[in-house]
Amino acid sequence: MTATQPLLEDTVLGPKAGRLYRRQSFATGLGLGILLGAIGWFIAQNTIQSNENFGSDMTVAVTMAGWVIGFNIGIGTFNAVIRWMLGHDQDKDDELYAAGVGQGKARYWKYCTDHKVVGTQYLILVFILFFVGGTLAMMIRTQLLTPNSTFLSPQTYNAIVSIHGMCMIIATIIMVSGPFANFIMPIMIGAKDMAFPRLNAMSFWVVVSAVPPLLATFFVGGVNAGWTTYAPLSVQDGPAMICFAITIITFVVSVTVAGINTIVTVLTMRAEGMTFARMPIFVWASVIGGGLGLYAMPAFLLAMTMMVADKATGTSFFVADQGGSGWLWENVFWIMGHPEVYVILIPPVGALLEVMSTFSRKPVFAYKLAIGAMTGVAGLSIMVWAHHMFTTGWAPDLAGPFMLTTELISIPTGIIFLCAIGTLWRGSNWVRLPMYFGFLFLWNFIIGGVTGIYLSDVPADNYFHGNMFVTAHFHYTLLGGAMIAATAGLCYWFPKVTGRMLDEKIGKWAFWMIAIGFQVTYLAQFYEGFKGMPRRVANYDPLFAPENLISSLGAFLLMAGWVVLLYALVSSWRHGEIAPANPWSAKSLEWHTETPVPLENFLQDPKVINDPYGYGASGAEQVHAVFGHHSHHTIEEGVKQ
Amino acid sequence: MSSDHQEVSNDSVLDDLAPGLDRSLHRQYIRGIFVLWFIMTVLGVLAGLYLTPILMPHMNSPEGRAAVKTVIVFTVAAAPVAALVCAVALYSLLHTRHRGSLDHPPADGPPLRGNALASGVWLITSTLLVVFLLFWGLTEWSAQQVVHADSLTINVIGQQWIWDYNLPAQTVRLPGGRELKIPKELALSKLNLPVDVPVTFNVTSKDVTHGFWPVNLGIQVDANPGQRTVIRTVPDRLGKFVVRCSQLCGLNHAYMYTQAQVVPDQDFQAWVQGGARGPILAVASSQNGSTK
Amino acid sequence: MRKLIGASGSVLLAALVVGAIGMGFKAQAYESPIGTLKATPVGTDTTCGAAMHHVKLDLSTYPDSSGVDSAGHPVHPSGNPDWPAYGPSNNYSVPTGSCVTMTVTQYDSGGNLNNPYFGTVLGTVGGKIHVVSSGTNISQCGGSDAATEVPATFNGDYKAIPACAIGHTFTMRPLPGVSPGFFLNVPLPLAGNYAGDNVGNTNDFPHQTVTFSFVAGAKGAYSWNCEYPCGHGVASFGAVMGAYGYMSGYLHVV
Ligand code: HEM
Ligand SMILES: [Cu+2]
Ligand SMILES: [Cu+2]
Ligand SMILES: [Cu+2]
Repeated sequence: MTATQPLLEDTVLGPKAGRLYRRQSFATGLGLGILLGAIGWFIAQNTIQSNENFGSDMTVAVTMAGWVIGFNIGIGTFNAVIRWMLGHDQDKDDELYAAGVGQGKARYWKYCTDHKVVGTQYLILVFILFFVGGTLAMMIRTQLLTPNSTFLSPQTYNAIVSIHGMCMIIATIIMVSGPFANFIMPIMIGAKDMAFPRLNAMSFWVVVSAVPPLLATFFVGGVNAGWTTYAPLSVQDGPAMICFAITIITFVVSVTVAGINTIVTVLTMRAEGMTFARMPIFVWASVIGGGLGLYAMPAFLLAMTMMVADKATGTSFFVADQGGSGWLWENVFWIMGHPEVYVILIPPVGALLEVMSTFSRKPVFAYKLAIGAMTGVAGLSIMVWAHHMFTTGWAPDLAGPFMLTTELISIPTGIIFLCAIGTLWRGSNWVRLPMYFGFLFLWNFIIGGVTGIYLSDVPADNYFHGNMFVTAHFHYTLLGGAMIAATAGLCYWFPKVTGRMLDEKIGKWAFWMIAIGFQVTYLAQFYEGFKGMPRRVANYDPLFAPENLISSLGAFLLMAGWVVLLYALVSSWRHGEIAPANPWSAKSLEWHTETPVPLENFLQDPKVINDPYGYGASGAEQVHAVFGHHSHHTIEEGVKQ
Repeated sequence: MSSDHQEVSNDSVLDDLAPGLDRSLHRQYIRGIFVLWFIMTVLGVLAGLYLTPILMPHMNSPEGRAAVKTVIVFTVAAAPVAALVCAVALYSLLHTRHRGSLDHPPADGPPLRGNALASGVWLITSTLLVVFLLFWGLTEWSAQQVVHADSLTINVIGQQWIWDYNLPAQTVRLPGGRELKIPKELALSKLNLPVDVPVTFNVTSKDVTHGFWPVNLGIQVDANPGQRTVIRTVPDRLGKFVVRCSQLCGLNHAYMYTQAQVVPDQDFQAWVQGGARGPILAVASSQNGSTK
Repeated sequence: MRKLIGASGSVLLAALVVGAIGMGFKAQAYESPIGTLKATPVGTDTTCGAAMHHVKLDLSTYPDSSGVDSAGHPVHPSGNPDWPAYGPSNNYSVPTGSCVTMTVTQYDSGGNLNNPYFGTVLGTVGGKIHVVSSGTNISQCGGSDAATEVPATFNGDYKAIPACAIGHTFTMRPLPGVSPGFFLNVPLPLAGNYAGDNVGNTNDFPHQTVTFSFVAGAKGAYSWNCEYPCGHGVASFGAVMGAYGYMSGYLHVV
């Protein structure tokens, strides 16, 4: 075996390495963001006449834009670009500084280009967003404990329902593509970093800057229109809707950058021998999810830009009495909205199949079919959007075609099930904590899928649309499906990300609380839907009282379960047992490098000779990759954009 | 665990599905999964058949009953597939599970990388199921598109936050030669509907989008500002129900609903003759009362 | 054991955090400075037909929620010169089964309803309201309805107010599923003129005093709001109409 490369972390950098980055951190971002926001507010307030309570829509738009731009200047998003414009480049020391060398924990507060730091930052952000969204969910369920409740005013209730929805959508979009597609995926393909490390850091800090406007909505009257912000209700809404739109526009920038980065990384950064057919299924899922996001998200940006224009500048894309149409909003929104649910779902499904393969000690069943299924789901998902509009009265003649495309999607979705159970079949099923969540996924997602086909049936949807049944359906798919699969992935990769083993005892308590709390909460909501309770109501007919009470109690248990899981994660992260490099005896590359993972991931370059699923095989077929030939690549190639 | 993965067998579908597993063990697996699958399928079918009608309310129109029927049929159709997923999962939890130490299992599972037969059967079955779902949906849907020559027209106006009904002057011929006469345009203070008379709702909104959802009629359509959308049905069972708003419409969305009732057509005629007034929530007198 | 304590401790901590945030949200619901306005009892009489417990509520509608009322109290803690408001509170409490007489002094100007339906008096005793005008002088509607005649001054009993001469409405919906449900719609004729000049929060300005009675139904929190489009934006139902606590609130029947 040849000598290994020295750890880059130990490199001593020159005193000026990093230049401006040295002085930048979250704090400077915060400061400059607040400053620019305040300046924007001051100018707008003094030039635009408004007699509304929270200033005009334009004032709020300028303030929020000021915040986003200021924060990103302050944190360092534009440093390198501006240096280039001034005719300088960054040297090797600058790059290493930006990658976090010699900064210890402080690098987590900085514009750091190391994909593992970005992945960890995303993970923390996802925890925070889920906690915020979960807190809001508790508000909702407290209000709905009993009929005739006045715990929250209807305005506050609507504001909470809207932000709960969007906070969770943002969190679920980034929950896998953020932490794992960043931290794990490049290692899986044997890369030293992402293709565009600075864009990677950018994608993270841009989404951070999108969060405060979302929470600001509560202080400027609240969003009244739900996460789908149907026009013209949202046009009628107050300036909180502007904050909401700024959040989305900013978020879309982040998702787009992240998606491009993922795809280019996989296209260009694979290790020697890592052919497409040898890539772990999770890599495929990340690429497909990221690619679908590139298709879907621009429509969201477009919709929100039109919304801001309608509100702040008096255009009328969506206002009927000035020639606009709410149907335009609904179309553009769902052209984004349906693919987006698969942007959320596909990466966790990829993670889930990795988990199933590792813990069944078997290859992913029908690997190519699984890739085909994910691609098929993604492809079909762009043609089904109007199933959200069956009852709007728009284009009744399209009911049939959209029923067809929607039902067709259950074929590739079904194949994903086939691959999962095919992997389990006759495996040496090793039921550790990740697998607990894997089994829970199967149960939840089958219920989510079957209820989806009821909804795809137009005559049945004429009963179920706009009712709690839909709420229960998409919680079964998104929370019970995607988020539980992501949790399986989290428990699976936790030792690699944190260097410590997750406490499975507490994890299992959490699991049971989550599993039971979830069923109670949402089965009760299916029942509410069957009985005819509309969704998004601050108050309901006493007819629905028992099942709402049950649903609320289930929700409290569910939330408590997540908190216990969070406790397990945090306490294990701090004092858990030190993890070996490959605690699961898995075959993909991330398990075959040191823990903690060194700066450029591998001390010796991997050479891939088989796919990572050689379980049960003999001889060389069991081996995914060999190590040992020296790194030929220079640091610049790894880090440079 | 079978220790002889390497054993090569030669013939039959079974071997194809499970290379290298000795036959008796293999049959045992299949049998176990089959039993689990069978039990769960039966449970699913029974739940679809007997639970659905309990969970869903009494419906006052064919469309409403079609929704219930669809849930039943789709549940029954989906039960075998869902049961198979659960059966395999459960079997691997109960039977092929690696128990004991926290260490990874001593032996890997067999290197099954796919199986053309299993995939093919699965694909064909799910395609057939989808064709069936589509066929079912389109049949029901087109049956609901029938436009009756004579129908009672009601204009529905959604507004933040109330439903407003307006009955234009019209004469509707009823089967049996009788007629329903609306002598002059009336603002309805509640939604009464004559039983067995086809009704056409013309729905619009004065401000934002609302969802006109007469719950137990099993139909709904959005009330869009600047647009008129139409839904039709024939309420064919007497009884009370509620019209709710199914599209979030702002502050008091939760409170946007009306009591409604399907009444004998003579009662409806009498109520109309009396100006369709009365306190908005009073229940029109009906000799037969509610059949609910 | 340590794990158990840690886990339950974090659940407890989270519950505290969530609870604190919940109290914050609860506080966000507008509460008028005087809190819930309790109806004053006036004994037992037959105002509502049969002899029953009779209570009174005195309210006003102010054109300027940033101003003060006749007694010098601020109308609304987060007032806005352009947003009207009900005062002195938007939450009222009356005993169940009692006869409630409400007097609303309407100081605001007005105009056309989006829907003439809300010009009709519904749900009050006798289906009518009693109006005493301070001498407001309007005789014709404004805008496209300019030709419609309205009384020069409103004085006496009315079963409806022309849809083009409305200041605000007091519209209360039945509770879902609670019977006997009661639906109340009281149109308040506009004060001052269509231009909306010369209106103010006090008796120095023109006003209409509207009195009506109804029987409080079953226990519950009944949501009321104004149906006159007195906000901004789409259908004039944005701004103040979308905000809770100015033109909306609860009648608690206890
Ligand atoms: C077999 C697969 C599925 C089918 C046939 C299906 C069908 C549908 C239909 C027809 C609706 C519209 C219901 C209505 O509003 O009336 C709907 C809503 C929804 N579905 Fe699915 N679905 C499926 C799977 C999924 C998955 C996998 C996800 C997410 C991971 C998902 C997330 C959602 C969401 C978020 C909504 C509601 C959005 C809203 O109105 O707020 N669905 N689904
Ligand atoms: Cu969809
Ligand atoms: Cu509505
Ligand atoms: Cu008003």
